[in-house]
Amino acid sequence: MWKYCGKKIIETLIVMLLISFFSFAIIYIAPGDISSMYITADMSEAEREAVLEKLGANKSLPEQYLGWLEKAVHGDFGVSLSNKASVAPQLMRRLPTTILLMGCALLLSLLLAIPLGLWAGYKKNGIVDNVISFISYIGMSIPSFWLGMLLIILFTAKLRILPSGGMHTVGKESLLDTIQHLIMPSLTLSLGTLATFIRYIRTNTIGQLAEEYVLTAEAKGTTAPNILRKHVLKNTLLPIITLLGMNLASLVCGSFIIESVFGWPGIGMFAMSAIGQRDYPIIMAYIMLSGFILVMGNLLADILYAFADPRIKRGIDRANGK
Amino acid sequence: MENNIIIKDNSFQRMEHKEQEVIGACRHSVWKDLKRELLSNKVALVSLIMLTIIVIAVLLAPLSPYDPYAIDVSQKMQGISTKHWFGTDDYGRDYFTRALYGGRVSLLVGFCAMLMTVTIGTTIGVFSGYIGGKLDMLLMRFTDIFLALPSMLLMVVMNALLQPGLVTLIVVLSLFSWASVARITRAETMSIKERDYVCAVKNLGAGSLRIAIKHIVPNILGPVIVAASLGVANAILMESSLSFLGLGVQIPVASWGSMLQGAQSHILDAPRLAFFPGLLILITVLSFNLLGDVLRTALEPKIVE
Amino acid sequence: MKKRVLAIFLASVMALGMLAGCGGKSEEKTTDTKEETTKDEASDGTFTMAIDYMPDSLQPSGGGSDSFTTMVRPLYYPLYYQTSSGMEYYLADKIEVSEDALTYTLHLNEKATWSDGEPISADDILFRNEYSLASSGRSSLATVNGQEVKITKIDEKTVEFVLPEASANFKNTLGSVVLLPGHAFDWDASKVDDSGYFWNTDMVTSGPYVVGEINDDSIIYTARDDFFAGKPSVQKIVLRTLGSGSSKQIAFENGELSYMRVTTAEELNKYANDDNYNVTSVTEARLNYIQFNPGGAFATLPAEAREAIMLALNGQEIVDAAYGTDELAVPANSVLTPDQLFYNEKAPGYTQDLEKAKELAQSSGLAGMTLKYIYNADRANMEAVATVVQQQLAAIDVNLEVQGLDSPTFFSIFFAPYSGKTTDEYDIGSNGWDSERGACGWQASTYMKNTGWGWSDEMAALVKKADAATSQEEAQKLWDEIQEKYTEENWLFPLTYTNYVMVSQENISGLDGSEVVPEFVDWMSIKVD
Repeated sequence: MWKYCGKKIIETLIVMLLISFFSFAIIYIAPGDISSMYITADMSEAEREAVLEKLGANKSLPEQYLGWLEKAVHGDFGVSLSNKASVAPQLMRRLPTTILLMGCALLLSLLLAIPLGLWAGYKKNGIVDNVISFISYIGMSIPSFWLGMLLIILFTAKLRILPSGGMHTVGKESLLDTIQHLIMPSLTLSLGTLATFIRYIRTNTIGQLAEEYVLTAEAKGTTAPNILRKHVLKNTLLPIITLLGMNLASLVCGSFIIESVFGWPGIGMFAMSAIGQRDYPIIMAYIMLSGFILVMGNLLADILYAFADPRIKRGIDRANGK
Repeated sequence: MENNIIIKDNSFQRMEHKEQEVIGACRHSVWKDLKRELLSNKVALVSLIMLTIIVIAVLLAPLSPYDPYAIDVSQKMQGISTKHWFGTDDYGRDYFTRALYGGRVSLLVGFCAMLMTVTIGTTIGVFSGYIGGKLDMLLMRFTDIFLALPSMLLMVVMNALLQPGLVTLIVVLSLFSWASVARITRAETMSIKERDYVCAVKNLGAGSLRIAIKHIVPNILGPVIVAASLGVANAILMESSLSFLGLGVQIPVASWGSMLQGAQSHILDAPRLAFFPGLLILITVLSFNLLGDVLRTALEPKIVE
Repeated sequence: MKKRVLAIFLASVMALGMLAGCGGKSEEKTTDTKEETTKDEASDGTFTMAIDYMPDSLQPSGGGSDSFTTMVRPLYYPLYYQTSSGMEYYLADKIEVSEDALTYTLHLNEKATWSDGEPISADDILFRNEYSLASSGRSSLATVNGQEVKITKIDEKTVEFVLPEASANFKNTLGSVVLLPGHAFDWDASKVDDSGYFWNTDMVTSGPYVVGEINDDSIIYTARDDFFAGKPSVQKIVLRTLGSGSSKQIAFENGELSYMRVTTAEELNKYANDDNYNVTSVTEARLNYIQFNPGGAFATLPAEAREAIMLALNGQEIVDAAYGTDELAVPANSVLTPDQLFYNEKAPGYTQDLEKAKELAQSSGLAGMTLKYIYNADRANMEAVATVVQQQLAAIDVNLEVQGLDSPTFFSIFFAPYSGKTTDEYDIGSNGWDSERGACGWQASTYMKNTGWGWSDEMAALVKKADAATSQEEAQKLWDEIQEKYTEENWLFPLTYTNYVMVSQENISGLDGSEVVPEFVDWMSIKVD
């Protein structure tokens, strides 16, 4: 088991290294010379040198990469090109906002998916199941930004019951106010995850209902809701740990677009404007940070999963062909 | 009452069902399975009909009396009418015609990205699974890494930094989606290569490449077709997101995603501009997703539950 | 089971279809009924504006985007502006130019103080220059045409600049300089960057406002009591982030924003016909133009090829299709804008002549070619202009491969020939010269002096002479000549002179106190009733 954890950690490190390489390399395959954005014709040779020196563009590529990586490991992502302030604190300042949104979306999808999934599985192939399945298919297939647009038109422009964007109403900051601002973005963000969860829980419920212990419980006269709650739910929730880890990707990436649509002041919106301004240090740091969140989520899920259920651990090995 | 239902749905009926599927998988070719399932399953049939209608409409786009690119200032922002089914946009171009041409781009990107994804994924998967050993381990670690990347994010960044356009779009989309296909095909290959007939062919002295192409690939077609269907859905959805961010094809060409981007600024005055392309994306992606899942149930006996 | 799913699927698609039909039909007659409920915001002297992104520093020298400039304008005043209606003084109250046009004497307002009570002094000007040198290695005040400017402090409020050679542009450069509070950094310019100083409610400002609050998604400025020009009518400015696309418009119609910019005729008509809103239009002093790259396809094509394109373009049609109304933009006829003193309204410009254009395209070998066209996707209406130009050139059988780029990428590619590099990354580009006002050629003279952009040596010499002219009569004569001759060289097509049109809530007025854009240099003129 410890060996398994060690292996996973090493894998995680390799993935992080690769992500770091990606985020660094992307800038060098981008068209146009970065330094040309900062050098103009009327600069003297000395001025050019000074600019290149500041950008670190006068060193070789591996040197630049290693230098950047070394600093990045220590949490120093350099200074933003557009506002000349350190990148790391700027990202850190916005991270809680994004985590709040992702957390709410995750919570929302779990809270909705568990009852819906159980219900659908219990009423397998009935009308309820079909409706729920269909909704989850829609959730998988709808472009999230489009849904966001439709929600804004409906709830803000037409019905006027929800704010169009942002996180607070200026001068009216309260928990309720923040919750109002959270509703549309977290709903939109949770939809993809919700669909996956529902389908997963449904399949699992159907599987569990066929197990012998359910038969025993039924024979003892336990009512259906109790069977679902006491037995099926317990056995269905465990694998959700991995699902959480796996779906972190869709949350991290989704928040990137959703934040921009709803003006949610998190790291996604920050990164979006950095991409528009070609603020490379911020883009690089953002990729690293999202990659880190994602990879850590996966790692935690893998390890928790393996610890929680050794049967599954053997399953993992089998799937890997061992 | 309810107790009875649960028991009835249980064990032996399911077992029998399973057995049938396995026999079916051995007897029929994948294509026959496919045809049978598509014709018997109503969901699949409707999805297929929807897609056929969309594909045909999109292919017949040049029959429209309107030029999708020609600007006509006098026809700006016309509402829905018999002349303009979807109205006109802010350049006076017929929006229905634009949507058809946009569909060409969206579907083209979807199909090409899917083809590349499936080709890369299957090649790596079959190769890795068939040869096995160190190479397999190495390739699979590589695949795992690609699975763990924040792909959508990297797609956005790469698309933003590279020259945006059709080819960039397709390459970037497939670059970050092949990994899951590789995983599936590898697992399938591993199970098939142990089968008796493959061993027999091997003992008869057939070359590895020949075995891989003639005996393994045809037998893993099922999961590949499923992956392809879901892959198109995914690619179209991703393309729409990228185009929505302004990272897609360049003007005057449009895709459904970039039409949505253009519609943003008119969302209050002309919501139809945002409504139609979004609806088309939804229907197309939904149909591919439904189709993919129906096929999965039909072609992969293991996932019958 | 399958049947039910099918039924639901069909039903939903139909329902969506119905919705679409209704949505489409109702669009002409909406928006009349709902305005009554909007104005719930009490008039407490608060002015709310949307910002594109949440900044991390309000350092006035940081960031080059218009959006950021707008954010820091209430906090940091410029020295002065030259506009078509004369001089507008802010922190300075006098700028004198000597007879030989070499010596500029700047006098700061005696009463002007930083928000902590320290006087704004000549040392702050020297400090600003030192900061630019320390931060980026260059300062626009320190050099003119690559030669050094001598800067001398005369007394606490006066600074003298001695230029190595006459340059009318220097006056504009100097006026828009934004000072940094030197005393807050112990007069050490290297301490400014990354100091965190400008992200703090204690930061010292030179404008009529100080930073009151910094929140997750908003910043609040409050009016200074001790501002030398008096107390502004707007007590509180709220800057808040909103979502992309139409969020701004929705927020505005909900009364959450005091004003917003409009860029399409549809929007303009909608608000102009509604008594609940005021429409304010100020000239942008901007010339949008199309420039040919001498390095790309035109390197091998004869000059007639460029002429063919010039004659194929129709400025009025571009305005009609891309802007929709003359209130947003009018066709341009010169390399200068009407806001510049030397602008000649009789300058010939180009007139469309499709027959001749077709002939020239054929004879020059241009017909049938595909050219690369780039534009700045961050600028209003530029995509629309590209769309129209693409169609107009299709008429002479020239195919345009159009690419929209974000500002930094666009500038690095577009200005490559200007920086002396030969590039074939584009053939035609559209861009704009902004802040084209005052008694100088401003960017027109900067760029037309440059033969890297295709201009002939004679033209470059002429422009240099005009910039260095010491008397206004002489300068006017030279600029008249330039405005006539540039069409013969066929490198630049003047597209449009644009207006910055804003729509504001009924209770807001005075947005046009100064015509300088990015908006609101003169916050003292804005009133909230």
